[in-house]
Amino acid sequence: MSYIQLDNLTVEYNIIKRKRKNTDESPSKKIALNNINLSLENGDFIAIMGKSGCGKTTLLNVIGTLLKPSAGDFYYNDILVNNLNEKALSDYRNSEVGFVVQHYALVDDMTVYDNIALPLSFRHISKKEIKERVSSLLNKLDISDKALNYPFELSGGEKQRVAIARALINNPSLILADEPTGALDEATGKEVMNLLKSLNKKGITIILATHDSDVASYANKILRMRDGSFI
Amino acid sequence: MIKELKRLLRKNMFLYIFLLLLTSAFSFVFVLLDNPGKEDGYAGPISGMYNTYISSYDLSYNAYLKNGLSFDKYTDLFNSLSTYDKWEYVTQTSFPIKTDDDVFFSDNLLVTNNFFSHYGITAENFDFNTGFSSSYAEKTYSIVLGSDYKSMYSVGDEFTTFDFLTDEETTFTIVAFVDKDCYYTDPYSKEKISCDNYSFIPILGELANNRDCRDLLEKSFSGFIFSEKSFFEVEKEIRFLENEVGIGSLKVVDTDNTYRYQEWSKRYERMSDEVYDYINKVTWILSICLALIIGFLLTSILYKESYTWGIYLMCGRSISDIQKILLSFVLSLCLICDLVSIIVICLSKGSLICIAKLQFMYLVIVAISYLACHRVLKINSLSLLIGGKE
Repeated sequence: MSYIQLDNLTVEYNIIKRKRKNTDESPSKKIALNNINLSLENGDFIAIMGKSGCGKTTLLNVIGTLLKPSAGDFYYNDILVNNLNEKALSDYRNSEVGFVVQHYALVDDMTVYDNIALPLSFRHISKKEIKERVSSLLNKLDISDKALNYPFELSGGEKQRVAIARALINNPSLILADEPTGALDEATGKEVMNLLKSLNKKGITIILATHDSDVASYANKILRMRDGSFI
Repeated sequence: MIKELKRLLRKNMFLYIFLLLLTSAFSFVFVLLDNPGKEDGYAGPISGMYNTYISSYDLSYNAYLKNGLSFDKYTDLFNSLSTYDKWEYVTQTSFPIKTDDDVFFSDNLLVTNNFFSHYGITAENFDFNTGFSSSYAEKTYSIVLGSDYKSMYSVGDEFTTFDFLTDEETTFTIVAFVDKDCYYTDPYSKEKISCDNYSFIPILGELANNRDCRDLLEKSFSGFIFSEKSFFEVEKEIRFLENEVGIGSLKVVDTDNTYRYQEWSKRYERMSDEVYDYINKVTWILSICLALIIGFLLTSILYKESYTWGIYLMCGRSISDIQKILLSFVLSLCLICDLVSIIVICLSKGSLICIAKLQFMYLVIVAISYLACHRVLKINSLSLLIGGKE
């Protein structure tokens, strides 16, 4: 069995239309993911490319357990994730997955330090250990001097590095990156992608959603999507 | 979770203070709602009836009577007044009765027979027209007691007291008991008074021209005339009767003035009712608006936080964890606002019902805010975070 395996994964959205008088119009459905089959090994770096609305983000949301599939199975290390309860799913997100998104998703009124420590604060970890782990990451990502700054005081590249540090704080085996360079200039984008590449080299599996072929070129494998299916 | 709760409160401190102020205003509105509207109405006089009070407080009258002069004329005048067919003359003069040990009856009235017929007071197997009389000349007194005394006496029993007309011993014979739950209306206060613990002695009867009977006659003139005629017509008739008998100067008081004043009060009261109803409606509408504002503010605070909740979800919080934070926040806020409100209500002397209404309102606010935020969280938070904008 693979590290991540998706079997006939389907996600449908209900689009409820206003019911007209004297008609039995049922709510129409939009298929966001249509019978997706995917198998990934530990340490893979894949890029999913496609136009806006093709289903890239939906796929990342399903793998990140932020969205439940309508049909099909999602296995993670041979565990059927569909069957997990809410607590197990949140543990999975906390310890196994790191998210990196286009607009950083940092809490504005928290310092860089607190933002990075956020996933640890949801677990029963001592303050001392939190401090050690956060400091270590701050140094590795070269943002140690920004620890007490707030996100609005940082540049785009620094924000994204903070987001990556937060994604790495629990030593995840999987990073889901959705347009991680979308809000950055070219040079900073390259820095971020090099950082992700180096993480992959250390054994972290990365699934990257992008529309940019230059960004996708950092991946070992590129998958293209259209209308909820792989081409 | 406490850390997250603190963060929420710290972040929204100004809104929080504003909500507290708003809540205080909200509480005042509830106190307004709680204000008593109208008092229970009193039993008013019979429609179309005019009250005229006559009394003997006239110097010339007293001088004549006390000297025993014109005693017969005054007796005739009293009989004329009480039997005149153009009105009802009701005398209800209180008098004290004492026993050897203590005051025995708390409420005693000297009354004319008209008193019973006017107020519809009845006694079982007893006719007030024929059986209710005393001879003050021969010192034989009949008395009718209220139903409360039935357990203590029977018809035909006699008892002796002091201090009725004189300090001498006086023996009363019980002739009847007034039926239970009979009432009479005080002509001035308009209060309905139960006859159950009253005793009644007839004011009419055989009188002798002695000091005691003259005193009794003097008391007897204090009474009310109930008539459909106006005060001036009644007064004219009284003067006519006085002239007929050949004696005058009874004091005649227009109690209708009091009645009119009471009518004004009633009219004012009715107006107050309308104003109260109006205020009641306005305050309810205002309360609903305030509740909606509080609910809206809470929802907006929590809506603003939905982005942060999305981040929490990504970082490993579960939906139920976030719901707990949300509920704790709304509850803590409402609890503090509620405490402030209760203090305000207590200081404004609001009632328990007012506080209960407020609790209900807060429960509604908590429920609405919680459901609204739950919905917001479900719909918006993730779409704000995930997904690139190419």
